[in-house]
Amino acid sequence: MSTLLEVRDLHKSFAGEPTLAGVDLALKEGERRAIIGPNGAGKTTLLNLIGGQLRPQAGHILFAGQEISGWPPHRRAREGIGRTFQISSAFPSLSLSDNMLAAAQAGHSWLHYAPEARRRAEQLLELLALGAKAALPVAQLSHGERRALEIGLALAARPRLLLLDEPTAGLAAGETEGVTKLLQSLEGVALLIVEHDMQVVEKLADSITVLHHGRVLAQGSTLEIQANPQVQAIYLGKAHAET
Amino acid sequence: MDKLRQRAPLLIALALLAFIPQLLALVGLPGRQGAFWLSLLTQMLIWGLFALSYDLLFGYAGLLSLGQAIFFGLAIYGVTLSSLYWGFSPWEALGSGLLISLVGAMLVGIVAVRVPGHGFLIVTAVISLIVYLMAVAASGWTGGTNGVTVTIPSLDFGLLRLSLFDPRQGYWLALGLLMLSYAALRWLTRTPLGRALELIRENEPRAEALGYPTLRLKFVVFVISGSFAGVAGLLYALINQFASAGLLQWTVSANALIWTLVGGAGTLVGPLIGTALLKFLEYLFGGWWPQGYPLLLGLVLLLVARAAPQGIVGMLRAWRAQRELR
Ligand SMILES: Nc1ncnc2c1ncn2[C@@H]1O[C@H](COP(=O)(O)OP(=O)(O)OP(=O)(O)O)[C@@H](O)[C@H]1O
Ligand SMILES: [Mg+2]
Repeated sequence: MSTLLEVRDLHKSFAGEPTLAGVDLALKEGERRAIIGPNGAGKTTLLNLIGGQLRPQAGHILFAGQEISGWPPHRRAREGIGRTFQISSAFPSLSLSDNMLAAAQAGHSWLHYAPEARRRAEQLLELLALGAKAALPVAQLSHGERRALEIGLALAARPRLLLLDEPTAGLAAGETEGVTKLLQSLEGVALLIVEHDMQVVEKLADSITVLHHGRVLAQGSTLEIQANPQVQAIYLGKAHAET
Repeated sequence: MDKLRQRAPLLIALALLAFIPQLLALVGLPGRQGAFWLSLLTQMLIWGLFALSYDLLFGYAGLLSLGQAIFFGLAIYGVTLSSLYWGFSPWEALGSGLLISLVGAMLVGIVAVRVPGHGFLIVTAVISLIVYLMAVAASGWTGGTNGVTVTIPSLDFGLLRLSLFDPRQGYWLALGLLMLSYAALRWLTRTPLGRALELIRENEPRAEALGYPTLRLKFVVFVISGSFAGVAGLLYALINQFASAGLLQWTVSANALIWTLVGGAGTLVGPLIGTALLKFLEYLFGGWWPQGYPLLLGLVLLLVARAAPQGIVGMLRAWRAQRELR
């Protein structure tokens, strides 16, 4: 499998404070990688840099061999990078089906809805088991339903890389399982998942990258990471201590 | 058939509007009084078209601008000054009016749509102020705040020649242009492009992350809506045969904002209703208590904000939806 995403020596600081201080990361086609790390480690910042919401001060981001770090977000989306946001944020006053259709229509005609966009939107509502609520405005959905929609929107354009920022945050156990199953069922898309829930990470990820103070602290299989004493000390230990 | 039934109210309203000049004559309001009411209606149509253009920008794309009057005023000046000083024919004058508002919208748009958040409102207001002050400074030419008048007696459509001095023909021209613009904007808002504008209003970063080039879209909607404001300006110039620097002021844009809010933003019909209603109230108060109108306006806005944030049309829709549920 060839490399899909390559991040090299990425730097980002806010008001002089370094948030990312030289991050390297490589992802193969279809690979599933979890990013873990304590609060403020720079996980969301990393996703924002890959998605184009933020620009790095230094470093490279290569997607399918192209340098994309100067591209605007919409161009990256067209090229195959989909993402969800940590705070679910669809288009609140539009109906669920209009949300999905708009997501599926991106990149098609400005004047006519494409039949395949309509089909894609319906198919995704089906997949998310939200078909019955299609006519409701998003503002009236539950938190769990909105999280599911968030993923559906990102999937609409059939991305090659999906960036997920804490997809199960704030979900009930049953809902978390639903989202996990949904993500497990995806094929042909590489996942980069920021996730605090280690059970979800175990189910979804082939490997884990640990971010700490804006640097990659460790990288490896789930087992390796869980056995890593440094990681245990600063991340897992802390997480256990919290619960 | 169903579609026809759905559209029946609109068609009936249209037919009624078209025959208002005859109706006024029938109920015994011919002559000067009838002409007065007709000209009030015509003004409502002109300003309604201006509000319509504003709704595309504000109601759909969520861009709160105080610069819309720039393109309205530029078109008015384009028509009046070109026929006054260069002897342009009516059609040439209309063409230059539209062109100058289009170019103006492109120039202002390039600067303004890049400014995020409330900065957009400030930038558009400031540019509006600058353009206004420029028109005042060039008052030898533009007539400043006193304005200039122009005489364009008629508009030749080949088969048909509209006399602009006849209130009825002016009314029909305004009604026709408003209906055409309404149809065009209604169509536009139903395309994926129109939906994309709503995505920007609802959540711009999300729209961009889905692949929508939001900056370019904001520029496009700014220019389209500015051009429709220009069309409203053409109409104003033809009917009122007058231009004044005051028409370029940010307060003129603020009026469109108020009419749109009161009628219902993002509905297209709403701003028309809001304009008609508030223009009528303005006229009523203007007669016996001129200071009363701003006061009333404040009350109406307060009422809308408290009781019907979606405006009149939004309130009617919510009410109908509730009735259907029961
Ligand atoms: N747009 C911004 N402006 C200023 N500072 C920012 C911005 N985004 C992030 N930061 C700072 O960068 C640091 C890392 O934030 P980031 O959101 O990437 O952390 P995170 O790993 O996603 O944390 P969490 O687990 O809480 O979501 C924080 O200290 C934050 O205050
Ligand atoms: Mg985060």
